Amino acid sequence: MNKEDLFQGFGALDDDLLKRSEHGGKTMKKGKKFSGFLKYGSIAACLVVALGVGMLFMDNKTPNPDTVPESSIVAESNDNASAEQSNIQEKPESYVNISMLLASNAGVESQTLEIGLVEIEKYSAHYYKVASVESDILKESIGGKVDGTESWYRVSGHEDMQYLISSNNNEYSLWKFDSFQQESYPYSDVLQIIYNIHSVEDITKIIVSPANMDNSDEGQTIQDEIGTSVVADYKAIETIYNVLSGLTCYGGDNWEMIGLGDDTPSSMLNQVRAGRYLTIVTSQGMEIDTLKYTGISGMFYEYGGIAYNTLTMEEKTTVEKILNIELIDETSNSVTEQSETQNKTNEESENNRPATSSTTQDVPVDEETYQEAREYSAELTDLQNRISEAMMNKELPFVTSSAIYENPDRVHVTVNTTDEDLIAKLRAFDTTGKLLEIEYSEHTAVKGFVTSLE
Amino acid sequence: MTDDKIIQLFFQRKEVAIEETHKKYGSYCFKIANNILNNKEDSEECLNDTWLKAWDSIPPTRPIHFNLFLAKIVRNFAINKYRSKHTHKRGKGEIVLVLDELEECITGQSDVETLYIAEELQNTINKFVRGLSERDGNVFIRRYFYADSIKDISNLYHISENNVRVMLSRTRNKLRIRLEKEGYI
Repeated sequence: MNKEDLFQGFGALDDDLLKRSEHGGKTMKKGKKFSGFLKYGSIAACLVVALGVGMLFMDNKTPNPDTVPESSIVAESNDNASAEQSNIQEKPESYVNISMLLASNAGVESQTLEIGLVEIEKYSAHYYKVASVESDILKESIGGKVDGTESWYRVSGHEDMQYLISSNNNEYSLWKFDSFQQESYPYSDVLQIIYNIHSVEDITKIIVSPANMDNSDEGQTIQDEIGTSVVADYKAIETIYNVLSGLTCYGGDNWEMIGLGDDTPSSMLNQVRAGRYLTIVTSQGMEIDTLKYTGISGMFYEYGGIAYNTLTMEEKTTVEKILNIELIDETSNSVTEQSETQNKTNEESENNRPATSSTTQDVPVDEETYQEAREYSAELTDLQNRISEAMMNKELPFVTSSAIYENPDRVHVTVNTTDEDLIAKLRAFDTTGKLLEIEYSEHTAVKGFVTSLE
Repeated sequence: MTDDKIIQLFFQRKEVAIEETHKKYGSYCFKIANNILNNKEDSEECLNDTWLKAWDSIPPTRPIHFNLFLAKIVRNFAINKYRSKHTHKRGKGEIVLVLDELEECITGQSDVETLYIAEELQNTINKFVRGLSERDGNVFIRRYFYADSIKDISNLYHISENNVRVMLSRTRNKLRIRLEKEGYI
């Protein structure tokens, strides 16, 4: 083997790994123990981050995909499926990390779309086959049988049904949920039946990535500017959860309804500006990465043209505030029109969502003022995230804490040095020169804490 | 145009599919090829080969992640072209550095010529990268799949160039041990 062979050997890396590497560094996990470190920072509270704070956020109850040893990725093995079933009934199933089952060098040639129909409760659910590890590993990773079916199994240790394993003549394959076969259905059923999300507590964070329908240089620039962020604030997650729970899904091939716009370069760029891709991380460690949002029509949608109802103006404003979407004027007009037509249908579900309504009370009436506030808030969050990341990387050992403060809004950083070079290094993070407030403290405390100014 | 729509055009055997693919992913694929070849003409040739390969593959293939589907194809063409052009002479650009770094992973104590199956090596690398922390894995992929420069990686992930070098060095060392253990070197 020579070095070229080795380089070529990297050519069949799984898509999920490649996709993951496309994201910028703001949400990249440094180690295996940190979770939810980067907070959504533009809410009314302030978040104080100190060295060592990561330990406070260690997630002990969630099965961490990174920490599952390879040897334990499969359930206790037996020789046949029936024996596995009896075995499973006797003792708790081992938790199988889905990422360990996905696409092992399936190659581009085998990526044809296969759809399976599974009867789940009152629905016929569409699942599509995904590239996975070998059949024998899947066989060892099956959990309980899906009620009422003969050959569909949950993944071992999973209460959700985002992925199922199917057996066919002793050949096992992995399938992912697509949609229910019905003209329309409440998304709350998908959340509960498929994803096992019954309340906001079942969601630990939401990763928000830029939409990538335009990868031209200009499109890439916009994507880079938007970057990836993490919504970890409870109130923000609750707001999103409440909106999602009230959605109606209209199934696939509904691109007209989604109304992203035409394919002109300016329209495509606008789609990137107004679009976000969501990855919901559940308390069980599952990642649901199918939901997308576009501010153009104020609608959630999915790959394959799966459309949802348009959000009310109030919901739209709140959601976009959380997702950090800034729309240009010409689209917001059309959105207003489209949204108003849907307002009536959403009024009923809206009544059940006090959190959503209360959050929007703070929204300034003047859109221009609001826009400025959002931009400023995004800059603050970005600065805070970059400093936090640098602290985690030990690039700023003289910084003992960094926090977003209000009135006036700024990132407040405490340092234990007066060295001008070091302070200049810190100041360089603030490209605007107006967001950073530096405080000298002799204390080198490393204990982290979270507090609120309210 | 959305990926779905472009793929639909491929399925309908409409040649505009290639135009749209070029429009949307031309610069993306060019960067991958050029990172390896450091030559505009050769990279553009790889792009044309890639569109043709996509045309031949879709249908029946229906890529799930269209950009990654193209990335893998263009990377493969670029490596093959690099190999054919640089059998006897040293090339230029980022790829030289990348390959020199990878050489560290295969120069072990053993000098026995080892036979291996490419697919098995790909599996081993896949598993190895999956076993890394997200940060190490991402940096490793950017360097050895996309052949991105250290500076580009540093900018992408907001970490210092020195930090990137250290991470890559440690990870290469781990890969060398893994390859040794599995009998590749």
